[in-house]
Amino acid sequence: MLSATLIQEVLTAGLRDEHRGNLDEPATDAEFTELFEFACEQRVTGLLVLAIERACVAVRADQRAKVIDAHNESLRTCQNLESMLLDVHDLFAAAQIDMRVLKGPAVARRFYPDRSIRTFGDIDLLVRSRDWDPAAALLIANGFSRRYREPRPGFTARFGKGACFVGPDKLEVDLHRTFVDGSYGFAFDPDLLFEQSQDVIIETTHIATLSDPLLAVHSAVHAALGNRPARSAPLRDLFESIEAGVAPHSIVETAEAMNLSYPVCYALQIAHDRLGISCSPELQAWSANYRPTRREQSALDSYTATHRRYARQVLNGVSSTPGLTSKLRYIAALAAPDRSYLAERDGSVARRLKRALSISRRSKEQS
Amino acid sequence: MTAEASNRHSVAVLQSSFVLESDEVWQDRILTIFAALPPCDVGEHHLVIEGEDQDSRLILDGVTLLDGVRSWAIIDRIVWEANQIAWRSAPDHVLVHAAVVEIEGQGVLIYGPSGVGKSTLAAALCVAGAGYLSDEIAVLDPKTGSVLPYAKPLTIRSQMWDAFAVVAPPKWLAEHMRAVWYVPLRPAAAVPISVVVAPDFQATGDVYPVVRSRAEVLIELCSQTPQLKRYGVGGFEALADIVRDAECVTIDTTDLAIACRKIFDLVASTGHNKNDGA
Repeated sequence: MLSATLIQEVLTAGLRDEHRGNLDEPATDAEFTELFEFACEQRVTGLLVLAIERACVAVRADQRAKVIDAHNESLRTCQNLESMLLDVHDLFAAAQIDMRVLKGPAVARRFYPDRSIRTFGDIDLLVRSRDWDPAAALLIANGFSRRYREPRPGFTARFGKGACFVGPDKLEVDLHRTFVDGSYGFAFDPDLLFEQSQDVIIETTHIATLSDPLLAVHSAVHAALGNRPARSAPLRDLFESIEAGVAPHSIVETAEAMNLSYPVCYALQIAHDRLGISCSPELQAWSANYRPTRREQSALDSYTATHRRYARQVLNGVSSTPGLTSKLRYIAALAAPDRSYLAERDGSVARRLKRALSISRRSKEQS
Repeated sequence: MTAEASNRHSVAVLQSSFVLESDEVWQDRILTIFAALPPCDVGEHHLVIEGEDQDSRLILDGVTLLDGVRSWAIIDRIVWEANQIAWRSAPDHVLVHAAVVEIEGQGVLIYGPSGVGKSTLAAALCVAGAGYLSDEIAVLDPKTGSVLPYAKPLTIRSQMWDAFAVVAPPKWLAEHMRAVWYVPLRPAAAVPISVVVAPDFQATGDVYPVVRSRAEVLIELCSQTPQLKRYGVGGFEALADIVRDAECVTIDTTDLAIACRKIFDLVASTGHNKNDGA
């Protein structure tokens, strides 16, 4: 099994002056294979290259060549994705749809000393709730197809996080309305994300992204509430944001203003455990001393439990949805979605209810 | 670099400049990195570096850009800011987002989308004997049709450190560079462009440079010229002149040594053709 030390050497490459463990001997074939697969799967081949070049990880020449080939392949994908981003940016600009680029291309340019370290596998765009449906229609009119249907027309624009669209070249755009699904998606008004912006320059085009503290908070939220176990790239993004000069107190203030303090604290703890260092003493102390309310704890559990508690996520979502009419619409859309949505997922309303009950039962057993 | 006081030096960035105010340690670092840019008497922009290596502050024209960061972040940001100053600074010239090197008195302009490997190819050509003009901005003088040097420090990414060890920065400086080396190279003189190269690292497998349509290359160069509208017809004509007189090719750069050899051969044959024509 891949040692935690080796993983830490890769994920902290360039962040620490010293390295640990006996890493002078080249990795064995088995160790290297596992490390290589980890780097590819977690999209951190750039960090593995950096770790090798900074002598944090010892490999043979053929192993190094393999890593560089894989990283170059990732860079080609990123280049194609950025080319698509420029096209979509032009499309949205012509339709006067205000957008912000999120994650990969944004953090790579705002935070990383060399953007080629931070590779990514899709493009994430944020648009205002009112623009979400027109933006989706525009993508579809230009050859994109929506990966999954929504429970009812207008659901995503009102309640959802967003949806994935696959382009003619099989490259993907995630069109966001907010950061996450469920209760933390209702924790703040997504239009607040548009209040402050800054640009990244791709080729010669200026593209708007979130403010630096918000980008850092988004990385934390992505790490805390996204895949299990947490992805490594957004954890590293947090460190890079601090290294690039984002003030820790601005991250705390932004997280508090967006009611996202607990997920950010949780991400900081994961980052500390995974990388073995803290990104800032101030943030570490804040996260260690943070005491979540019962409601926050329950909301976070619904995202982070071993078997994600979808039923609880939905229930938390209901309680977080503002206004009775919205709550009813939210419940109705999830309890009795359109036939096309059912056909894609559960087949029928009865099967859907059966599945919901089974998830709920399993969730109770676990708790 | 010109000493205005013991701890203030000014560096010319195309038609603009910056004066650096810091302690001697920082002066040594920054002036070494920008050693290939000419000195000047006054600085239009005012850069101040304060604090220790683990807790540094960078102030540009009175605005704090970075605070509480490590030394490498200061270096990265200053190189970036210098480029931004350059982009805003040359009203008499057409600025194209491209790298330029000189081979046997002829210019090779390397352009392409972000991340395609312009700097890397320029670095490889310089290591192989080409003269350096820029790895970021081609400064085109519409009056003469030549490209002038903007010798910002050459950028070498960590994955290429092994290949470019021969130009590695000194250790005392490299330890303040975390993921990118900034290497000052003495600039070559202004050159006319005779070859326009679009690097392609997507392993095309093409043995020979692929000749490109000039119209297509002109359109692509326009897209790499952010202030084209400001330059007006004159700017477009300057780009058209370059493309009309140059060989325009795409070259597979998956093997840098082979790509460099192809470019040297191409420049040599272009030179011969021109001489024959004359």
